[in-house]
Amino acid sequence: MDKGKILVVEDDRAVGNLIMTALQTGEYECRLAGTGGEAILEAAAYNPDVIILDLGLPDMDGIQVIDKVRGWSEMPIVIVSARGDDTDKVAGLDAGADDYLTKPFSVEELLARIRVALRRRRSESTDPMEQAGVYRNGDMAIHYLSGRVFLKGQEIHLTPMEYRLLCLLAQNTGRVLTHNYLLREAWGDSQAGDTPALRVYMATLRKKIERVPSQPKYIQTHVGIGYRMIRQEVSPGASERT
Amino acid sequence: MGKMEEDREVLACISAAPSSAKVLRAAMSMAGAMGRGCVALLVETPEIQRQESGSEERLQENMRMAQEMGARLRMVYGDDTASQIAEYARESGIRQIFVGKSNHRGSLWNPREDLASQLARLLPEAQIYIIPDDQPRYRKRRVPGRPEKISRAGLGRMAAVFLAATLLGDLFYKTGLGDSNIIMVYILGVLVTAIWTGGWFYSAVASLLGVLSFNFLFTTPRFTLHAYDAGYPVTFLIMLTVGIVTSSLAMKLKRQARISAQKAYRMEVLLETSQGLQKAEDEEEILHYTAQQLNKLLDREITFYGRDRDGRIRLLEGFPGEGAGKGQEGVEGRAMPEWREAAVRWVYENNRYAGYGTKALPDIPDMFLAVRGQKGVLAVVGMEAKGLPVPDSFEKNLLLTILEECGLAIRKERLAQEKQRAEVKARQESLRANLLRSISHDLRTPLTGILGNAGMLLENEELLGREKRGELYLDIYDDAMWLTNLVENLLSVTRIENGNMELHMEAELLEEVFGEARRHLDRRAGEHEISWALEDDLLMAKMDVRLIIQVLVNMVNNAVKYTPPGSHICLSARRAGGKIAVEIADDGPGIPEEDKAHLFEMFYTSGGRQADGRRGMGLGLALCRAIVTAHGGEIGMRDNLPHGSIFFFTLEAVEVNTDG
Repeated sequence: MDKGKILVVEDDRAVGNLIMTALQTGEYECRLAGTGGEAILEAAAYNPDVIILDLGLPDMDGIQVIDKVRGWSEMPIVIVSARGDDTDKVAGLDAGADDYLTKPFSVEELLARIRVALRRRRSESTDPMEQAGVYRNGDMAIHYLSGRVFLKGQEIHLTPMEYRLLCLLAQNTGRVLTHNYLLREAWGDSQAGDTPALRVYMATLRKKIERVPSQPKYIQTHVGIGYRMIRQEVSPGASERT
Repeated sequence: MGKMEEDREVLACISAAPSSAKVLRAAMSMAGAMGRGCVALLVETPEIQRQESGSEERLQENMRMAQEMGARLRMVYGDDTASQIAEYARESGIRQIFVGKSNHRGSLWNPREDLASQLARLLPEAQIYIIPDDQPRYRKRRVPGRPEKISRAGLGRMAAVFLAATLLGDLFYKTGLGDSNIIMVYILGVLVTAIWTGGWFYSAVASLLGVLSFNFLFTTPRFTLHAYDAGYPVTFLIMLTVGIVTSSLAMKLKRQARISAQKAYRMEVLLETSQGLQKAEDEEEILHYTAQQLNKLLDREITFYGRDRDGRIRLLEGFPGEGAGKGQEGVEGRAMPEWREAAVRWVYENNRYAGYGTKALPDIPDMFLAVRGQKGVLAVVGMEAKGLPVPDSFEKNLLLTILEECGLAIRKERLAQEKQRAEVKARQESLRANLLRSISHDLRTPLTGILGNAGMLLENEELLGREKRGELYLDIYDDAMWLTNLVENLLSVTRIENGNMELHMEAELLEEVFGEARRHLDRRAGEHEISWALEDDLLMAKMDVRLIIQVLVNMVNNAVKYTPPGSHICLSARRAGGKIAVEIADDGPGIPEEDKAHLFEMFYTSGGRQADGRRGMGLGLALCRAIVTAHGGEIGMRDNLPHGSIFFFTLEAVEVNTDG
């Protein structure tokens, strides 16, 4: 059965083994590449659904691999890096990676990230509602044309900045957006750097959207890195009247 | 002065004489051989300012040479060269004095004792080295004053005084007060003229006129220039002499008043400068202050240039700053003309002056001087020169002295910084050694656990019951988790103890931080009731979020470790002034008094109260303290009521305006 094809790029044999075993147990089809060069070749030939990419490779910088792959494909890339190295992660995400994993990570965490990435891959082209100018995610809906946001059919009122941020997150559902990215996109270059304001807008936005703001369902916070919109499992029968 | 023998410097007396170079070289080589410093002393006498042209330049050249050779240049003011030198030497405890053999032997009228003999008389305890001069005979020619300008005002004053004296004399004559009083009146008139006009010419003319009119008006036969009394010619002569002598005395007085005013001004400027330099807290302030003083002195734009490690020339400080732009960008962003950069580079490389009015690069409009240290140039000062009045020797000397003071201040500042760095480094070294010792011990325990458990599972898997296996797996997991946390702490420690801790300070929402910290807690934390309370959802503080999460995790894990399962742990945050106070409160048994004082010390673990009897490299709380301190916050602990403890720390609050 086709759960998805995954390319694992990892030079450490033991960790590579662990990831491969975990993926095979999860019934994914997968392949292992030990160097950046190999990774780029495999990414083109094998055409995976997701790439798990360790940033520390023997032959080249992981960021270069992302650059190369992004040259022709939007396939989800999950980067793996050592803890405490936020700058690496942010650089990877800014280069176009979708998500990150911090070493040491647990198997559940790895599988969860892969599920998120695969969901993004699938919803990318095949979301019919997206075409109609409506974004749906769980109980939330954004009507791009009228600029209105609904939660369980109830319209919620957002400030222009909150709306802009929500749209950015929604358009990149499943991807971790870095603070820099959000600042650049939402404020434009002129005012970039006003992180406190970004934090506050995100907090107020979360308060309006999440039922339990301390356990967010839609907007995930990645401290020191950025934010991400999570795709909710489609709850059957939850069809809003809009 | 109770100076140690080895502190005593060597004194070289320099002047405008060409032999000064030789004197300097001799003094420097002796100073070098004895490992002492050398002072080049210049005595500025009133005459020095009236010397023939050319000697001024030679004087500047000699001063420059003294500085280039590394001597400390000092200037004193006074009439008598020998006594000034003697006084300076006595005050600074100098024993070795180098003088040039003066070849100006005084004149027939003025048979002077030469300088060396005078010094020997004044300083019997000193050793005086006389450097013979093979230079061509050099005569200190005195130029008898600048040709005076005869001004209308001076003539007017003279005439007025003369008229008054004549009228008074006439009055005396009519009332028969006698000749001698009339003479006195005229002498008084000459004196007044001398003081009032301050010129040789006027007083000479006044005395001559006085004699003539006395003769003409008041001696019999009156209204002729004949005198019958045989004593009168003598009277005339005395009167003329008195007039000239008094006027020359008065002028000397005036000159000395001017010199002492200059001296006072100089002292004031220097005192102010050195006080200001002492107050300056870093190099930037030193330079800024110096620039300000020089600007006050010379009334022109002053700029300081430095050279960074790559050898690029940079503008450091300026006064008045362009548009008073103290903002770094304002100063640094300004493009530096190429010639300026070249001149600064030249000064750096040659340790000589350059620019307008000097020998090197005289075509450029600015003048560049070096601020010297022991090992070359510390900074270069540039000043506008073209089109502005050339500083006179007084200003130049003051300028050089200020620059020297500035150089001293910079050297002192750099030394202090170096010392501080060395101290920090030594502290870090000992810390690291302690850390290593402690880690190697603490790593062994969980590793033994992992190895043993894994080995057991590998070999006896079938023999172990399902439940037992699960227990072993869990132990491995726990030990690995503990190691992970340990590594995390170690990473933070190395980041901090590397000295130049680079904090990535950002405004963060406490809510997000608490949420993240909670995800990193020990598995055992599940046995405790952990809650959090925020005064306001939008509480925000400036922090390096990774490190502060580390602090929270350590503190909560600590609370978990030292309280029995089921205890309550509550995280809270509230505003307190411009700060955010974060608290971690538990209702455990509390901390014994004897441990409280040592809680935040490195490698301290609460002796008999360890929850599991084996873990804890008392690193956690010490690390917390280091992190919070680096953030500029406070950290501490107090008792909770009715029992338990509260750990707290503060961070700088951030207020945000989201109206935009």
